[in-house]
Amino acid sequence: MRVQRRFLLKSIAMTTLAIVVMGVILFPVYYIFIVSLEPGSTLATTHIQLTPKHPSFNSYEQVLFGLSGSTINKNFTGTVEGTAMLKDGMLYIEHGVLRGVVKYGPFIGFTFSVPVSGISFKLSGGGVRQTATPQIFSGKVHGLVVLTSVSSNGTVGFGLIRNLMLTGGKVKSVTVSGPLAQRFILLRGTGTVVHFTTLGKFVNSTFFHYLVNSLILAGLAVLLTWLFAVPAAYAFSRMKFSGRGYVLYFYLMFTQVAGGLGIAGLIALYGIVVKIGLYNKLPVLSLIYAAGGVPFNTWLLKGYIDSISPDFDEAAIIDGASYLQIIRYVLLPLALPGIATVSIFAFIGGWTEFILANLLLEQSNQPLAVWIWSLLSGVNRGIQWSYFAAAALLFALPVFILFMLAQNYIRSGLTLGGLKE
Amino acid sequence: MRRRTLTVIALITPGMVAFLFFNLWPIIYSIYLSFTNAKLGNFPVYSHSGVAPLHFIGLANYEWILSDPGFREAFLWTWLFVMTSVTLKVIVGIFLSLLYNSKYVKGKIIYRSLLIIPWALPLLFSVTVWRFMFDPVFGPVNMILTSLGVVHPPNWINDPNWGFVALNLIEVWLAYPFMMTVIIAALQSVPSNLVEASIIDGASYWQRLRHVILPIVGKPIAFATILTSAASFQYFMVPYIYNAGLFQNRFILLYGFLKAFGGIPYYGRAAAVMVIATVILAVYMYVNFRLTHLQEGAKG
Repeated sequence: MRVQRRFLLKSIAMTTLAIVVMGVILFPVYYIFIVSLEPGSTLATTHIQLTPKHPSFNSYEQVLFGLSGSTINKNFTGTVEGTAMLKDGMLYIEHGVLRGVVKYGPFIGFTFSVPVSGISFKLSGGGVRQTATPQIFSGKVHGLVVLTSVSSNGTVGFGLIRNLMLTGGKVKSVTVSGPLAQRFILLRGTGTVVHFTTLGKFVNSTFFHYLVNSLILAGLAVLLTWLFAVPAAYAFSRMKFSGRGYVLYFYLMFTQVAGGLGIAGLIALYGIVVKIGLYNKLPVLSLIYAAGGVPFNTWLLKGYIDSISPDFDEAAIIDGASYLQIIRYVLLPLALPGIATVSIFAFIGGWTEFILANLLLEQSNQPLAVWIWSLLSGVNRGIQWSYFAAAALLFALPVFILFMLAQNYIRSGLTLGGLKE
Repeated sequence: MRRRTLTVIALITPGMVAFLFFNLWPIIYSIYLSFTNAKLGNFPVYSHSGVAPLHFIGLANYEWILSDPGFREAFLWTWLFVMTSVTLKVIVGIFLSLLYNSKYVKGKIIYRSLLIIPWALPLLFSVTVWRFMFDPVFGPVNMILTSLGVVHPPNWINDPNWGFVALNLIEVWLAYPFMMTVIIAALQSVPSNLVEASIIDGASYWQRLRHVILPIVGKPIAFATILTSAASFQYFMVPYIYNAGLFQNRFILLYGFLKAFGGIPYYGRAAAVMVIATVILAVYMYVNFRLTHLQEGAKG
């Protein structure tokens, strides 16, 4: 009994210690999450809030749906209605309202309506009649809408409608169509209303702009990694050739210090890229990432293919299959988990790298990681911690999920060394 | 046989060419650059703006480095950081491994999988989180210190010495999942009958740790220590994100990077710094393999 009680007491004490230590260690991650839920202005500076006082998703909304203030330049379709006159092959609109819809794929991005007066269309086709008095008019239009400095509440600094084309307009059972006679319609003054849908806000947010670049960069890095690592891993695993051991040995050594050597070679790499005219090219960056991952990915995948019994491909060789056929129909399906792991690493690498991306890309091509990094220097100078926390968490979330998916491989592949480092 | 050789070449060439061109060639090119006068105006392209064209200047860059107090400072502080951070990482790693592998702790599988979280987060995110933790105004670290009665809590962001302490703490936080995973795996490989035998023989906990467990887990710990010390030597991202300007004379890679891309670019001198760092990294690789015999895996 005494022994059992001592065990119990010790157990309670140690478990408590374990939980407290874990709490201290994970506190920063928890705290940044709390901060992201707190509207910026209410962030305390004198004491710690362990739970958010006014929990809200304001900061996330601002990050995801805050319009970036950049220019929107999109085709739209819409209608124009009002009173109009026909005269000398022209349609004069006296008073009317132009309503337009901008779509992103099948989804509505934003709608707008503008009061129009004193505009006219050059009518095409014959049989044009004259009308003496203004008539009720309605028609379909399509054209290009330009909006500048769109602020986060949806108000527009300045806007234009260009290339406006009237199709299927009707004035007293007469069908009319033709281009706008004026060069543009100003979207200014009273009465202009622009309404963004959630999707429209998302697509036009700063976040989305960087997100697209990140996805291209990381996605392309994954594709190139397949090209670089899969065939090579097969060759290193299944074929004997001279120099094989040396190359593998070198690859393995390289993985240990890849991070440091990457930085050490940065100046020269910058020089090379600029010299051969590849500055500010997004795919080049993917290529560099995929190339940097070659030693590690080849190793990881080689190890995986090693664990697949060679009986499978020997049987295929006897059946007369070529190497490509063996890779395609025998090894790829069996090595799929290994390839998935390599893909996850390639994606995480492309998603999180920002030093090279900052050095080799101009702002319009930069990925999320560079944006997060540049936000950090703007914190306390116009950017609030809560906004930053929300953006950083959104940036980290995909990496976190992918890492959790691949973590079994990471643990078993520890002998490869220096994963995170 | 010919066809087989061609197949091998076709299979390994794409990856190898990309690797050689984007990873190995820059290192070799760096060595060349370190013997030239590369700086703003003549590198990467010559701009005809009164700067002498790119030419060979012998060992001048290396002579300059050796006479530069900034480099000496960065070199010494880098090694100081390797010593302090590795010591902390190993101690914390062993402590956490023993704690979360103890038979007295209930639910340790859950804690272990939660403790892996810092590993799963992108470095950029983790460091910015810590940058917030140590913020003099909003940061909870100083709030706690103030509430504990510290009148003038340290400025972790802008004071070089307190910043150095902060970097050590951050590095421990970043590296403990790796250390813990390796050490726990090693601890679990200790045969339980050995431990039981020592208990029957009346060995205390510390005696068991010292004479039974540590000799067996010593090698994996040594392996993890070398890897993590190489990581400490290559410390770049964390000080760069945390406060690049403050630490430019503290970390050798950051020093080299900022010689090229911060302020006035002296690419030649920066390349020389990087070459020196590369040589040290090469020594690391060599020692690593001598000690851990990883090359046996390469033959398989």
